[in-house]
Amino acid sequence: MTRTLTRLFSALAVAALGYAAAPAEAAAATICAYDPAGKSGDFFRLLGDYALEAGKWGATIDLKAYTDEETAAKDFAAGQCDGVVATGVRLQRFNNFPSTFEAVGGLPNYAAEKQLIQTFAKYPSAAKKLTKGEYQTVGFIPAGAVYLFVRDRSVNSVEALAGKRIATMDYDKAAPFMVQKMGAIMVPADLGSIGPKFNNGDVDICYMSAPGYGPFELHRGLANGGGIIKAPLAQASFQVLVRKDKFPADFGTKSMNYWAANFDKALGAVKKAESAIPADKWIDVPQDSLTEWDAIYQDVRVELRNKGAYDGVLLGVMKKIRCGQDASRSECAENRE
Amino acid sequence: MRTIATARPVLPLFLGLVVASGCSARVDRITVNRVVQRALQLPDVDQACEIGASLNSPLAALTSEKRPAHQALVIAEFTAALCDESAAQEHELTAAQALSPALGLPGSQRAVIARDARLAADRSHMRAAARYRRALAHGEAAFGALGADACPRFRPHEELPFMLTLVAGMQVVLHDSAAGSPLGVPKETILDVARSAQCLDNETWWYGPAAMQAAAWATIPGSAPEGTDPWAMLSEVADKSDATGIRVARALQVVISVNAGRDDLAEQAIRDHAAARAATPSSSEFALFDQYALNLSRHQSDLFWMKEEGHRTPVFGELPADAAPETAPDAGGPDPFAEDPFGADPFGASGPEGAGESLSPTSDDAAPETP
Repeated sequence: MTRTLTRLFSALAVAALGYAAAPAEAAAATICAYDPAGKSGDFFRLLGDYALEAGKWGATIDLKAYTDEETAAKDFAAGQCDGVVATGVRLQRFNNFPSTFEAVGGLPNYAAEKQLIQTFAKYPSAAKKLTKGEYQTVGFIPAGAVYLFVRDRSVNSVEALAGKRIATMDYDKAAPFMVQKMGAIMVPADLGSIGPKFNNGDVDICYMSAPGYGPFELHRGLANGGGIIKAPLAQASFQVLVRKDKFPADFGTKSMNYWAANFDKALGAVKKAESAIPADKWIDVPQDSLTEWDAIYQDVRVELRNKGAYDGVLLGVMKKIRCGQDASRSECAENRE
Repeated sequence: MRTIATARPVLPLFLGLVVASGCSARVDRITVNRVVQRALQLPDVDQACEIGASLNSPLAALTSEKRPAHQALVIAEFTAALCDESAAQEHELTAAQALSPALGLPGSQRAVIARDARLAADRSHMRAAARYRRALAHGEAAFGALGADACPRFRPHEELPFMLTLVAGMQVVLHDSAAGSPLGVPKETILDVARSAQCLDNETWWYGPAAMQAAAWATIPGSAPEGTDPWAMLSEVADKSDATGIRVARALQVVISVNAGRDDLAEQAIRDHAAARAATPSSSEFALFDQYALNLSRHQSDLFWMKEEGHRTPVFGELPADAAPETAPDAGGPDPFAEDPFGADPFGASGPEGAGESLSPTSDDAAPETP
């Protein structure tokens, strides 16, 4: 009798312990995370906080650092990781809806960028567009406005770009088209060569967001009368793309909400980098010149949409945001996007 | 309290020397030639950090405010930062342990413990960065700005403070970044370090200058001179440093590889570091630096172990991947345990009731009695 009770008690104890333990969690999902500075980078650090928070949602995330973006994307494509963090342009092969986030001239300022990220988080219809096959984009992290760096600050208008050599990321479908539209000459480059090409004078122009200014020592290329045109070309972003079946069902919603709520924190590193650039390096652009830039950007967006590189629905949403900020923009009376 | 107790025997002697000397140049020379020379022979990083933290204020107070003993202060600030670096490492290990599946903590608990440990690590990294930044500032005051085209002219005892200025320039960037860049140290500082590293002879300084160059170039894309593969260079100088008995270049290879997510490289570098220690004893002249190098590599090894197994490195040079259980080779032939080799219970009662019973308990026997 005693033994029988003992067994019963043991069985109950085991059951109780099982109940007290945390609900079973999915196996750790690996995210291949690109940051040019590796584990010590500002963006990798943000991802560390994100991974901890995701633990509360039942997702165990193991971050793997990459300093080479293409390798991170390839490893993800090969199934070596369940998620990847890379720039939108690098991930356009998986789904062109989220990569359209970085469309030329689509988001002219950080307020517009924040509004779009909040819109993604708010509407379930966005989640559908952010999903393609097994892939789902579950986060947008601001990497900074992309500016044109010119070795000669007199090159500050669309006309002046004609015939100039521009270091161009050749994996970006939009960039060669944009360069051609400006009448400039494309010089293929990647992140490793863009700084040396600009600083050595192999190209006249490069484009970069502010966090790249210091590490790539672009001040060297600006030293003899160069400057940075203060008119954002696009908004660079790090995007979190996952295989959705490797994560809990509501992971996408929670993740999008997380990054929407942490937009300002993520932007902190970018703003710090922008404020570290000496004021005399910036080239202010007059309003009429800005309008001229906007017209070029719009032409490029529409043509790239027609070619299938940009998503038309997202371009329409971005236009609404721009016109919501400033209804006097000439595009607001048109119906091109 | 520990700091004061450890520093007690050194302080009166040192302060006496400082007061007797009366000029910053002499303080610099005495610090390097007497205090540091002896400390370098002792493989005790904790003691070095405590002495540095203790001597900092007296050094600053007893030399002229207008002409401080910059070189002595480079050393004091640098070694003081080692205390914070060590504290940051401990907090990082706590965070890694909380996140280890080996502990099996529930998600929310794991997140809270790891977050707290990371915040604590941030504070230590920030303090380390502040101290390294002061070391760098004193070094630049003594030798000129890093990254300048021309090299400073050294007296023999000045090379060590210059070398530590370079290391401080690397470390301030790494620690400030690890803390979330609260000090806003420009990342390109490490490129200035790389330029100034050419001012020191590589063989004299156990290939540390070349290792710093390679580390900087590997960290910032496109910064290496044309035709130079920084990763190959880092590996080459680490190999050369192994036989010197001061494996700082090897440790740098480990740290930079981990930072870039190249864990396979880092693991091999850790194995190489351990093999080098087995093959060549620490330099008696610079035992402290070899111990510091070991601490750096072992910390990365500890992080690997924490992640996989939830504890630190049992034996330096062994990695969790090496410890994976192997399938025992099949001896072949018939099953040697097919028959009970003991026959009757060898420990059982000799009477008829015990004879022939199996060694395995019955299910009833297995259940413990409740009191």
